[in-house]
Amino acid sequence: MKKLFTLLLFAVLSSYCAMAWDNRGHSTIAYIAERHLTPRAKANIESYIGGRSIVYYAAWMDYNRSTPPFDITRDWHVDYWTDAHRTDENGNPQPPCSVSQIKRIVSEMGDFRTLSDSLVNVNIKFLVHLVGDMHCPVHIDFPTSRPMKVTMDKKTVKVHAMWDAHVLNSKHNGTSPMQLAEEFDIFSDEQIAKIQLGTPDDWHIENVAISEKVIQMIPKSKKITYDNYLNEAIKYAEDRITVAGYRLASILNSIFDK
Amino acid sequence: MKRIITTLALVCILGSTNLCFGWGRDAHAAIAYIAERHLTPTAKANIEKCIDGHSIVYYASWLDNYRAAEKSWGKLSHVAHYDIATCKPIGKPYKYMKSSINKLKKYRELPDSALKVTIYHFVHSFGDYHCPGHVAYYDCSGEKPKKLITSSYDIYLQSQKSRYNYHKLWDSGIVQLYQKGWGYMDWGHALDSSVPEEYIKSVTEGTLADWMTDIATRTKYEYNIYGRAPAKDKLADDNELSVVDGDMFNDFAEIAAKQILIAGLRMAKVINEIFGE
Amino acid sequence: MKKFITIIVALLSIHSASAWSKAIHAGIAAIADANLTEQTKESIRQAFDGRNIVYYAHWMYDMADTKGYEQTKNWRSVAIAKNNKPLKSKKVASHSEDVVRRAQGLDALAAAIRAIESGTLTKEQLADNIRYIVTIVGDLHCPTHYIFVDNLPQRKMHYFYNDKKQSYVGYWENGSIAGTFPWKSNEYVHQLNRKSPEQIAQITKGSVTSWVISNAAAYREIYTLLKDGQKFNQKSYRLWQNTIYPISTEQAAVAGYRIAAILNGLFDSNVANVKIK
Repeated sequence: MKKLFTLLLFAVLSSYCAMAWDNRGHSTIAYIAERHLTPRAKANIESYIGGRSIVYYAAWMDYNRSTPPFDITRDWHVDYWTDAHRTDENGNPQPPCSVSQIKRIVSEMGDFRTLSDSLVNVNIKFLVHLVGDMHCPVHIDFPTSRPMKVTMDKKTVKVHAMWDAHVLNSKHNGTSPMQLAEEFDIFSDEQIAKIQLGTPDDWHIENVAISEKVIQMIPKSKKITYDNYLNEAIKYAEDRITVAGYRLASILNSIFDK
Repeated sequence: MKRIITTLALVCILGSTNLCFGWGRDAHAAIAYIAERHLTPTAKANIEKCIDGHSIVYYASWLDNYRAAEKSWGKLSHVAHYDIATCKPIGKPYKYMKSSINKLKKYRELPDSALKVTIYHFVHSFGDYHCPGHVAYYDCSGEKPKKLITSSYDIYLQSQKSRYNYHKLWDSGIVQLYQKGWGYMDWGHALDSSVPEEYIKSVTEGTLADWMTDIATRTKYEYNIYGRAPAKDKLADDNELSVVDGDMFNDFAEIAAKQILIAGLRMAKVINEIFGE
Repeated sequence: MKKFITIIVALLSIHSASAWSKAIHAGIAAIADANLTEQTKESIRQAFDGRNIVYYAHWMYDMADTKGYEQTKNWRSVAIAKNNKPLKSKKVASHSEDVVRRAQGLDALAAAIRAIESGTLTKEQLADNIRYIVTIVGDLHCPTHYIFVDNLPQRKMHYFYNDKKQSYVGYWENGSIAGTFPWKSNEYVHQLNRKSPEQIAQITKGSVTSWVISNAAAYREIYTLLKDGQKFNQKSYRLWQNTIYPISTEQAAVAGYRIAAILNGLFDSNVANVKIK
């Protein structure tokens, strides 16, 4: 049974890989972060990515997950619900996940000037994406929500597919990520400082709680409407995107503002 | 859901630009927007005065919208022709573009309507000539140039699991599939955040002929566009089509991004030189 | 192209009851937002807990099925008499046709303005009424939201694009702009927020009712551009779209300036209120 569970977990984790925020969501996170980078951090970062904005690379990891050399990043986009899921039945570690990768990259980038340009370049692309992914409720694997399907607009979809893009786009379809960042980034400096407190591990725990909540909110009928789910869910999606943006800024500033 | 969205997106992309219509609306707007970001205030004010106070971005696809209305506008070729041996531009497309730029140099003497159409032609076709899908090579060794390679054939696009016109892939497919949900301002902001001055200088040096040769050379050698997805019969069975896989698509996306930026920077240079005084 | 248009237009007809698309509503609100005074912006920010009006541009539609907001479904259009004046409320309420009975947009807008003027609203009520104004004024600049009671059948007018039957109403609400400019909301500002102070003063002159009357007269004319059962091919369709987009983009800009005028009048003590009649 346990083996079956592990197998299922693996199967689901691999299928999750296509999920988390869509390009609009990731781009918005990167925009919000960019608005809070110090000028020095922004200049340092952009000197490693050809003068482009980090927004350009917000979803780069999604496009580079299936072929070498970046196929090793395939599983990095997701995370485990609890620590118990981090090892299999024999105590062997599961594939790396977003939080562990963020921690590894942050520590590796401690003195980024000693690293090769290409390593810094790719680490920027990783961070910009993974901090977004770790704040997406459905990128956390949860046994009960995994097979859950809902009906939206007369179509049946998996819960994580709904969260992938539809929740955000149900309200903001037609709004560009640049404008979304303008609309979401409304917190005071004190509020932002509070959001940025803590470590990726703390943020993960917080996100697990929110994931549980958005799954519990799903109506028993599994028929999703604006009234019974989306109007409320969109608030969580916006919150997670905004929070991810602020935290991405804090991580990037801590590395590059020197 | 994702599949439905993808299919819909694909249908939109397949339809939103007509075959041979050059970059799609998004890319044309992005190029003009990047150009606008690099205009001097005087140049911006002067050129906008000529087009009823609109941004040049507003007219970036005007030629596509109106090519059906006036035969002469449709004839302003959107695909540029090159001698395959030297990669130098040949024929009417180059001639028209050169003539438009020369006309603009005397813009104060042009009648209002002629000036407008000349600007519309410039802001549109100048962008098109930076699209790798808009390069057609000719054998010029004989008496008459003979068409050798164009992008007008189908490939199999692995990420969409479907047949795709290669020309259309360059026009709009790459831009829309790679950065879904973006507008032209997102493209401008993301590509043109802090481009080093030396880079701008290096890509904007030279004449129109130099720039066009640069595109044809890159497309042929550096980008190796047609070599990577060799032409097959349009009616070929799906299984026989050249495959554009994820890796190749990513490479193409990078090329498209680079070309959009370069086109915008060069467009700005031309406009600044003419309208900046 | 054919397939795209067919599918998109089919999608549009499904949503034809829902006015301008989300993108257009957001674009109109963004133009309005760009024209708010600092004092107005600050008051709205407080009412919305930091959000702006662009964020809520489509809110009235999102809430339509929520308990307590069902009546907003009747606030999206306005019933117009033969003399282009809005039909009296009583006549609207007792009309035999459902589409007329549901055309209470002007009354709802007037009620929202009066409610804010009263100064007695709770924060939540104030926020609701601001949102109503943003959405309703947007809709009152969409030609298909004018229900001409003397000519109801014209709402059923159709055209054929490559032999597929399509509704004009559906086309107006999205394709009339997006078919030519796939702009995002901030791009509406970049493109359309270009009027001089004198032009804006002209646009915002008069009362809300006078705007509706002049719009009604203009929108009646628009129906003369449409021919029931008209058959388009790709070329003629593009040319027809070229006649429509200057009108629809202008309406979006006008709506944006007028929303700003109403809100500035309500929240900035230095700006005169826009009158209802």
